Amino acid sequence: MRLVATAPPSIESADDPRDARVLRLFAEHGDGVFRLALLMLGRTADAEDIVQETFLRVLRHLANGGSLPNARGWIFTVAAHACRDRQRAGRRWLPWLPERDTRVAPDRTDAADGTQSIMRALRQLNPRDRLLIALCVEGCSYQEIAAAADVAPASTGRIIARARERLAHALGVAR
Amino acid sequence: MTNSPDDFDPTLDAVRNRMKTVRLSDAARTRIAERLARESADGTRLSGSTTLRAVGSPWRRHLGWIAAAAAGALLLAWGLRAVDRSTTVSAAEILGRSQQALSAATSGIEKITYDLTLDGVLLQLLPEGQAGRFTVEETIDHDHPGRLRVVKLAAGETGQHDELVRRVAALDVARRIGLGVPRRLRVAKLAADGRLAAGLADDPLARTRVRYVRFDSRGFLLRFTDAPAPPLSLASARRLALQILLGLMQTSANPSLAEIDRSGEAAYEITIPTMAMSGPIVLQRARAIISREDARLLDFDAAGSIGRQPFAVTFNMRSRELRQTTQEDANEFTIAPSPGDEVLEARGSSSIPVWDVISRCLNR
Repeated sequence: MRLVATAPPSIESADDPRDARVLRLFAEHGDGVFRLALLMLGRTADAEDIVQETFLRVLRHLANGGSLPNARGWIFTVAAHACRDRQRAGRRWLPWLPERDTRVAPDRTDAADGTQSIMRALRQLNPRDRLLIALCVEGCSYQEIAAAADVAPASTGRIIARARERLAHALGVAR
Repeated sequence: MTNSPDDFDPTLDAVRNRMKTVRLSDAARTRIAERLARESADGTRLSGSTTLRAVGSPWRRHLGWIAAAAAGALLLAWGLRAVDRSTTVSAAEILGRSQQALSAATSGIEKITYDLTLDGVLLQLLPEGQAGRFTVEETIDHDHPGRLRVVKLAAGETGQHDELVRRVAALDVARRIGLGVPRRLRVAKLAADGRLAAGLADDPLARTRVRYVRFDSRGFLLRFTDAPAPPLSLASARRLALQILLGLMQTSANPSLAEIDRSGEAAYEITIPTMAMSGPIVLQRARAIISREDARLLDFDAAGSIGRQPFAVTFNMRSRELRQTTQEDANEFTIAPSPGDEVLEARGSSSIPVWDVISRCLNR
């Protein structure tokens, strides 16, 4: 694909089937990965970065001759790992300071505006529970959740049930 | 177990209903699609940050190696400072830079003054009666390995010593240290006022080694001529020890990082609240203050154990001066005796432990 155009790249404009596939996967799962990252990290900018990082990995994986028999599972696993890396790194970074922040205000309403109570409740959960809930919300299978969250497949259902209980309790507190 | 946790759950369903309207913004979607297209068009794996940024002009990719080299030089010259100021840096990264700064290739003669306190097992490295807090002045010739002078000023004579330090600090801030000033300061320190507690000077060019120790208010100066350079200088050992301790701090899981102002100099303060371990060395607490400008270690405070023997070390940088080798003082790498000092002359040999000789002399 040789797209350096003024218009955003689209599936139709992609010459290479590989690139068309990446753009199709981005169109199918981009929003899902964004929601997962938003639930995990709580910040729109970070979630957008995770989406970009995830689909760049998809592109590189396919460019290196890799296959994607279960594209959705692979994508959510990569996104989950990227979120965890960012959470881990975030603990060792300087706190945010107003004078250091040079970003401009977003040109639209923050995506999380209508989900404040959910975000508040999720913040009370530990990172693994948050990931499990986010993967459930995106409709992932037990196998996909086990792979993405690095938990034993046999105990995935039990762990998810406990995460749901904790979320229900947190939502009760948050409401 | 079913294949999917899709069985009805009111809590999960509530979250799903709320979140289903959350989507990527059009702007972000376009940016990401463009970034994917650029990555694909470049045909090579791009490494580095994946933070969202505006798309650069296409012609920049065709400037070639010269432009890339120029950009690299600019990045090294100014970019790294800017990165520190405008974005965030991690504690491990700063500690790594400080480690590199300790062993960075430098030319000229460097003179640093610092306060040093050793406790626990580290006291065994010092001769008896040399414990406590000291102000140390190190002069190192970076163009001639092993050429250095280290003098240790005992704590206690605070009046004159503080006056001396104030003079150094004032001159340092003004950046007007003249050639005569360090010489005068050095002579003042070596005057017979009892402040010099110990010292050593190695000069491989002149093939001399001088050791000085004060014992029972009496100074002993041992001067070796025709002496080979020691395999590991004291300055190298100090640098190595600090590098090891900084490396240990890097392994700590959750160091805290803050920006502070240290006497008008912007600096990072890194503290490890939990234990770090590497082989027989265990670091129970450590705090490092590192210059933001050039990653120099300014203050260091640590406690732990080496082979289950407790230790503590405190290092506080007072001043630093670097000048060309051509501005060298002829007596800079030796120690002159003060009036009343015992001077012992000997021919050097690598097989004679220096402190053994001094101890034997003192016993006699």
